[in-house]
Amino acid sequence: MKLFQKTLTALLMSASLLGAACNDAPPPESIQNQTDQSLQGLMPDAPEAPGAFSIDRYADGQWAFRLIGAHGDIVLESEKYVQKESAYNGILAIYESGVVETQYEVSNDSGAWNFYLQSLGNNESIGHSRRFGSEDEATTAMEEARELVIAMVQYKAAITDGARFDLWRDADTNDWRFVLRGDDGNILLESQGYTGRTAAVNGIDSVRENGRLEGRYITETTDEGVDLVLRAGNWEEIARIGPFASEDEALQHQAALIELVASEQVANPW
Amino acid sequence: MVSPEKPETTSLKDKTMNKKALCLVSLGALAMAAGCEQDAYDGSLGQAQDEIVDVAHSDVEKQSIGNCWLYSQATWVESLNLTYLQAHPAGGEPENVCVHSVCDEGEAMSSDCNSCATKICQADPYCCETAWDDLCTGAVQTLCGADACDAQPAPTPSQAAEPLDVSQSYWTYWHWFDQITDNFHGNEIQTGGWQWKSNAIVRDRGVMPELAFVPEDSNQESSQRQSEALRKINEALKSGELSTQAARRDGETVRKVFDEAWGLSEEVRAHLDSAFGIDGETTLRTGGTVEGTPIIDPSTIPVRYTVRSGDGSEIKDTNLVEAIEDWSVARYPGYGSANQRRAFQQRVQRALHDQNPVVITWDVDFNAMAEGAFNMDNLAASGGPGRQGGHMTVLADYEGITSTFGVLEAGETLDEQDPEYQDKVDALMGDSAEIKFLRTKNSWGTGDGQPPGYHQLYMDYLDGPIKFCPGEDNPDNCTGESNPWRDAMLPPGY
Repeated sequence: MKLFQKTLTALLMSASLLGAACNDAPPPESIQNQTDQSLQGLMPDAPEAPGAFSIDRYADGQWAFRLIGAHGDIVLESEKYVQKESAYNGILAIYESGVVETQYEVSNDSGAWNFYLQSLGNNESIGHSRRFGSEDEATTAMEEARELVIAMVQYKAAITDGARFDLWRDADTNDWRFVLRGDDGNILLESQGYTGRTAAVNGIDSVRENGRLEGRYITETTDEGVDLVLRAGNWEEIARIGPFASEDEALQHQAALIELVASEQVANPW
Repeated sequence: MVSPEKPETTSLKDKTMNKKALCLVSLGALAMAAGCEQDAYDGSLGQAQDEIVDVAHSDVEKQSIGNCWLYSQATWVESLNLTYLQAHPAGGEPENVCVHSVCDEGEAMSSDCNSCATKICQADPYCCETAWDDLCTGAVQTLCGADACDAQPAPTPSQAAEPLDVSQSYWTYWHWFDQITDNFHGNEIQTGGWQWKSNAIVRDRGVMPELAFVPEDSNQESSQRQSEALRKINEALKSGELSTQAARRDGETVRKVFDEAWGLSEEVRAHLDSAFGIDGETTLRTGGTVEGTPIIDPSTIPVRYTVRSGDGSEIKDTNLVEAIEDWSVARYPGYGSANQRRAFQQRVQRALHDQNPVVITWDVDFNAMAEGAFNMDNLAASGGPGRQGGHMTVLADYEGITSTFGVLEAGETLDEQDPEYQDKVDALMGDSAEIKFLRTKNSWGTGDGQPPGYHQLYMDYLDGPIKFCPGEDNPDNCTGESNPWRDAMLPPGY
């Protein structure tokens, strides 16, 4: 929870702030080669926020937070709180629980369908959707809500210098490669070379999908030590890391990787 | 292929002091009156002011701070509304009859049939999508007041035929307000944003005409009030009334500082109090009301665009909230194959030919710009990358190269009476055709561009790659390459 609290500020700010880079009007004609250009309004390149949390007060004086989607729509809304501070804390819980599929539940209340998100700690409802006319609509919206929460967790990692994937084209081989770095910058996994960027991006997706599954890892003993290898469902290698001094050390690294990938707190390279 | 007669254009507002006339670039069939203000187009550029495609656009404005995304949102809203008004010159008239009282259960109601239905459906769309059940009637007293059940259901007066002149300052005010009251720890307002944020602002705070919020915005190309307010609020954040967390979380304090910084009149302050409370924390979706104020509920703003299904498209007349829900952002496959890029371009072309204001996000390198155009020749001639940053604008036209008809120039409307009209459209849409450049309405004023206020984005530039040199004024610190065209916001089905 401390990690979330540490980054909530940056997240709430940047969710509505970093957004699009945006230029104000350039000085006409003479823009080139000037050293004293006005930089007001020039935004650094930043990852695009997938959505945002907003805290608002209802007419009855109570507070609620809302998860706002791409269309300005309310994807998830909290219960009402007497104190605004409680809404801030509710948002923290969404970041922890909202990435976990089993915490969501579709429900039928008085003929209308909606879904709830339950806290990992006590399984109490911490957010609910609007009402839908059918179970299918509610289920689809629930899946989209979880995807949005995941995207926001990944976005948070991007704007707070958290763990991340780096993707680049090797100048020597012309291959595309990626690495997974921890929030300390250390490499946790390193890909093979890919002939195209699309294939490398698919490789990143594959790490996200398989990296949370213990059964996808194997260890390989080499002349230098022990490598930890991540494989896809078809047993093809996706990425590896090593050498480690021992099997135990490799397995400790594996456990940390599984926890990190499952938390979704890894930024995309774009 | 050039239209034999210059299509009519109409100045809808008299803003001769500042080139802010709203110009409808319309087909002759709409029979609008005389042309746009002369200074909105410089004939010496040698181009007609009409287009290959026919997207209605309002006047060009000039951002004074880094909020292009709100200017592009305003352009998008104004364009959709203009398109609607072209088709309904007598006035907007969306379906707006209440099928029953808001206090009676029954079938789903139209959200714009009266103000109470609008509020309830903003809070609970189920009531206007599926059924008006007991939860909907139960919300009447909370959201509409105790007397709402006594009132007879009556249609909301139609949106006036006057085109919108959206206040970007009004949205900017709420963008900053949300930043500060939602747990702000910085000392400087950030002015950038994306569509999801502007969409949320529109739905939560509605739309205010420029004349009603900061009156001088309506007769100036650039809002100096915005840059002045930004300076004052940043001072308050650093060492003034908003320097503490307690003050920042107190909406009433933030509003007081804002109202002063923005120089709002007592009347405007009272309108904001009435709509959102003195602390500004209630929104249109949590019980706020536009009644008695010049703020326009977005669900009552009529708009028109097209929706594509299969091989065809059909016109959709609806309201702004539904447009926000309908349109989606799609990423340009800058790293994809030539076929993938061409397929994306065809989606954009198709949307433009159907008169839709396509919003694009793209990266600016000012060393690629000369004489109103961004292209790789300019970039090469400049000797290296220049100042860079992202930008969001709305497309107006494009120029295409076809094997059958050669170059079909931007600035020339395809004439539907031309026997070759359909062949030309088909040629432009073909797989082998090339887009030479996209013409975008910009928010940098009318001091530059061709025609003034519009820039040509050549495909060689949009495809890139260009050297990627992020950071302020840092062309010597390039970290890789990027493809300048990021994405496009398109209507459904495109």
